[in-house]
Order: sequence, then C-alpha cells, then structure tokens
Amino acid sequence: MSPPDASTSSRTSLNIVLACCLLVLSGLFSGLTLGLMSLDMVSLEILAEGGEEQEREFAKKILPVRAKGNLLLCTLLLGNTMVNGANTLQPFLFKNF
Amino acid sequence: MTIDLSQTWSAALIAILMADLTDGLVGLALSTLSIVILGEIVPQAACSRYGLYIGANTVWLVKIFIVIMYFVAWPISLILDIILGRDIGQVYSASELHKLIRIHVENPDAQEESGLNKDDGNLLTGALEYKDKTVADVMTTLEKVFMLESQTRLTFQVLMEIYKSGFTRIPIYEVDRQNIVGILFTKDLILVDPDDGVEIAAVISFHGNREGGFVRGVPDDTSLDKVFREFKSSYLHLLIAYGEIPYSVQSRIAIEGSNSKAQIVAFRTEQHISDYTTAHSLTGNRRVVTGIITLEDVLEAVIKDEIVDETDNFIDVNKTETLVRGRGVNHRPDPTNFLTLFEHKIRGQTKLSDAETAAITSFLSLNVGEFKKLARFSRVLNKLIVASQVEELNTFGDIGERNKGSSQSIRAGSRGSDNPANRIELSGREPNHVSRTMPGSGEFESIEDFDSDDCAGLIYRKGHQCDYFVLILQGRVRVHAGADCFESELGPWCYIGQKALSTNTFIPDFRAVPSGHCRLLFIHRGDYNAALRAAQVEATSGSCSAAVSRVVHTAASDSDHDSHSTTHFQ
Repeated sequence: MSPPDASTSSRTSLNIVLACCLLVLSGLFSGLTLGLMSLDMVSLEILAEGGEEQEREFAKKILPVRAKGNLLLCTLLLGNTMVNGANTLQPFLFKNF
Repeated sequence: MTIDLSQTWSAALIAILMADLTDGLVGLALSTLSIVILGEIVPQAACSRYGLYIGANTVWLVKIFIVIMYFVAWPISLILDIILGRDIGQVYSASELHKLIRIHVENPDAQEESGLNKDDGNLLTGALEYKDKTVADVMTTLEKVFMLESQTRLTFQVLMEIYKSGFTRIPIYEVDRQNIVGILFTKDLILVDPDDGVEIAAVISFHGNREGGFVRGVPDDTSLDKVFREFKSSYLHLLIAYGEIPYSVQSRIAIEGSNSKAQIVAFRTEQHISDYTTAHSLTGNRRVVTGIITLEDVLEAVIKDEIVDETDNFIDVNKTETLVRGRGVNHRPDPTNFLTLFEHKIRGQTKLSDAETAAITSFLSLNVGEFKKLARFSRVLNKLIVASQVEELNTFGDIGERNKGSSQSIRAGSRGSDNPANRIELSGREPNHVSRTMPGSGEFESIEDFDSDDCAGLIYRKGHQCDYFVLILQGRVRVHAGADCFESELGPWCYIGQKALSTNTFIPDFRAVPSGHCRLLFIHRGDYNAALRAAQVEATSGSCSAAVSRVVHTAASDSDHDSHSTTHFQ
C-alpha cells in the first residue's frame, strides 16, 4: 500500500466525510423505521392529549407525519436502502471529484 | 469516545475506500460490520427507547425526504393502503380494554405509575361490562317488591309501613300485583294527613294516565345501557320489567289455577300490560311483569357495589343477609330511632295521654250524673278511665261517594290479625275485588241492607242489651233513634249509653255507628261498679290503696275480654 499523494488524500478525506454523513443518515432511517412505526396513531394521540408537557409537544410534531403511515414507511425504507447503497458505491460515484 | 468512534469510522471507511485496492474480503467485512453496528443496531436500540424524542427532533429531515421520495414512495404507499387498508392504530375491544385496565390496577408498580387503585379499576371495568348485563340480572323480582294496593287508605299504620320500608317510590297495583297502575312517591306523602285516610288511588291519580304517567315498562332482556338511556330520556327512576310468555304457557297457568278470580286477574293483566308499550308483541306472546328496575340498580351494576342511602333499609331485598354490617350498625344512628317521636301513635291510639285522662276525668265528673258521685274521688275516677278501653273505629266510605255504605268497620290495628273485626274486614272485602273490576255493577249495598245481616260497625245495636258507656274522643258517631230512625250526629265530648252504667239491663232504643274514623272511650258497668265500691271504701277508710288495686285487678281481667269487645257490637 503506497502512501497517498495530495489529491488522493483530499479526495479520500472528502469521501470519508461523505461516508460519515451517509452512515448517519442510514442509522437515522433505520432507527426511525423502528421508532416511528412502533408509535401507533392511538398512542400518539394519547400522548398528544394526556402526556406530559414535553411528550405532548413531541407527539404533536410527529402526528401529521405518522398519519400517512405507509408513505412514511416507504420513504424511510427507500431512504435507508438508498443511503446504504450510496455509501457502498460512493467511491465509484464520486470518483470524478 | 468521539475520537474513538471517528477512529473506527475512519478505519472502516478507509477499508471501504480501499476495498478495490486491497483485499476485497477485509473491506467487505469491515464495511458490513460498521454499517450493521452504526447504521442499524445503535440507532434502532436508541430509537426503540427514545423514539418520540428522536422522531420529533428529526421530523424536519423526514419531511424533506418525504418530498424527495414522493414520486416513488407515494405510489407504493397507495398500493399498500389499498391492499392492507389504512392503519388506524391500535384500537382495543371492550374485553381487551378490560384486561388493559386490570393490568393497570393489579400490579403495585403499575398502580403507582398509573395512579389508579382497585376501586377505579372496578368502576372502569364495570362501565365496560354493564351493557352485557340485562334487566333481569339486576332487577328486583316482583315477589320481592314492596307494593301497595291502590285502594289502600293512607292511615297512620300504612304510612308507618311505608316509612319503615325505606323506599322512595312504591309501585301501586290494582287487584293483582301484575297490574301496576302507578307509582307512589313517598315525597308526596309529606302533605298527606293520616287522619284523612286518603286512598292511594287518589294520590296517584294526579300523575296522569298510563301513557303520560310514571308507569313505563321495559322488556327484561334489555341490556342495561339501553335501560340507562331510557332512564335518562324518560326522567323516570323506576321502570317495570316484563317478560314475554307464549300464550300456550299462559293458558296452561290459567287452567291450573282455574277459578274465576284468576281468570279475571289474567284478563286484567293482559289489558294492562299492553299499555306499557303501544303495540302488542308481534310474536303473539303475552307480557308478564317480572320485576322492577331502578336507576340505582343500573348504577350499582356500573360501580359493582351497593348504593345505600341514609334511610335505606339495611337489608338488600335481592340478598338475604344484612347489607352494611360494620358501617350501618356502628357508625350511624339507627334511623328507626326517629320513630320514637311517634311512639304514642305507634302504640296505638288506644292509650290515653295524661292530659287526656285529666280532661276526661274533669269532664265526666262535671257533666255526667253517674260520675258526679265519683267527683270527690278523682284518683279512683282517674284509675277507672285509665283502665277503660279506648277503641278506634273506622267506617269505610263517608269520604268518597264511591264507597258509601260500606260501613264495615275495622279497629285500627294495634292488635293485628287476631282482631276479629279485622278478619271480618278482610273476608268482607274479598267479593269487592270482583265488583271493583267491573265498576258500576251494583257496587255496594246501602246501609239499610247492610244492617240486616252484618252489624260489625255498630257501637250500639237497637234492641240488644249492652253494659257500656261511650264517650266520643275524636270523630263523629251517627245515632239513629226512634221508630223512623231519626238520624243525628254526635261529635267529640258527646256521650252515649249513660244508663248502661246505672241500670242492670240496658237495652238501647237507638243504633249508633261510627261516621268515618272515630276514637271512643268505653266504660263498662263492671269497672264502674268496682270504682263506686272503691270510692265507698275510700270514703269510709280514708285510704284508697286497697280499693284502687281492686279496680286495677278488675281492669286487667276485663282487658282480656275487651280484646274481643268488637263482638259486643255484633
């Protein structure tokens, strides 16, 4: 393994940053798939009306998104797959930089 | 930590980036591991615990992605919606909720978290379950219902019975218990004077007819939630529960009890029950009253506990044991103590108060020749009066035209059923059942017809020997004197049969009957003579103790035969 020159080094570090972002997004999507989908509408409504102050606030934010359950699920899973794919492929995708 | 992580990331990413350059297997392993740990395990673990927090704070990002992915995600979600149906969240059935509530109240930890205790749980599950119960499950069956006949007069004794029952609403029946014609509200009795002896029918007649009145029926297989709605919409707190019996069964019953009365009753019942609801049952079944249900019964089913109010009888009519053991007995006064206020009435008005005795003593010694001799011996006279019999006599009728002439009398009842007059009254009323059901068909005989065969109400009978003096204390007595029965009425402080005391054979040439309710003092010749002797003894010896004891003794033996004294009038 030869030591990388200046241009490959900058490209590599850019790739690393990109990879990190994609990894965070990937984690977020998979986490939200579980987290948001396990919060069903009824329990969200219960929290929005009868929860503690902070819980109410959070639940009210999530409710409109969670209401379209299948759309949310598709978005999250597509996003997750896409981000994972991009992560794997990004050395090739961003070769031109 | 951050450094540590970034080191791992860098290593992994470098591995990925170098995958094509170096050994592909190492790169694959590293990238897989990093993606699984950082991209799946950690976020999922975090989100399953703090999903709400993370979700709420990243909702903006999700919204952005929804917009970006819309063209792909929306058609897929649409297909999913069509195939799977829209997700409405977790909704529990009644039995699931029941279990959910039990989970929340049974475990001590859950109790603390939810702030609910066992009672709350009972209340909540009761509210879920009560609609599964029917009227028949919670109603008071007909035979246990405290009911009164509509022709009953509201005398003190009846009012006392109602008071002791503790009920606020009393079903009123006519002829047969199946035939409920009204509800008597005990509140209405506040204004009723027991001395008037008003008929219950008169009180409930102001409640309107059956359609607009307070009697309403409900099938006994109705679920409690429907009955509850009925209670709320009708403003009633008591409904009559009825069941449906096929005609065949009914007719068998009619044959089994094949006497005319049963048939009349059955006829009446059929007529009446159909009034509860406007239409006859389509199946051709007959409605039979099976019990009553109150709002309280429904509420008790909801809270799964008994509601007892301040004056409730401590006996639950649906159970045999006493209801509120500890609470009722120890912590609150017995409401029947209140009755001591009316003790003089309860013991019967057959006892004279001290003031009355004194008044009678002075009246007799001043006005009646026979007693003037005893005027000096007020103690003897006093004893005589105390030992004498006070009778309460009553005529039916005289208040309303309807019952005019039914002059059977009863002695209002401290003696209860062993009273011969009472028995006469009861047996005498039996035929009236029939006549009442068919109004206008020669209801009652006139006084003249009546006298010839039954003289139960007479105080004095013309031509029949008797040995007592009568002083009217309350009410009026009608006296018919002479060949043409000249009628006169005597009021309080009038007296009859003065001669009965002084002559040995007294045959009245008049007839005396109580007019309405009256209270009379009877003084018998034997007692009077004993008092005279006592007065003589006192006059000679100066001491009356011996004589007085003799008077008392005579009175005691007299009271024995006095208990049957109504037979004197016959």
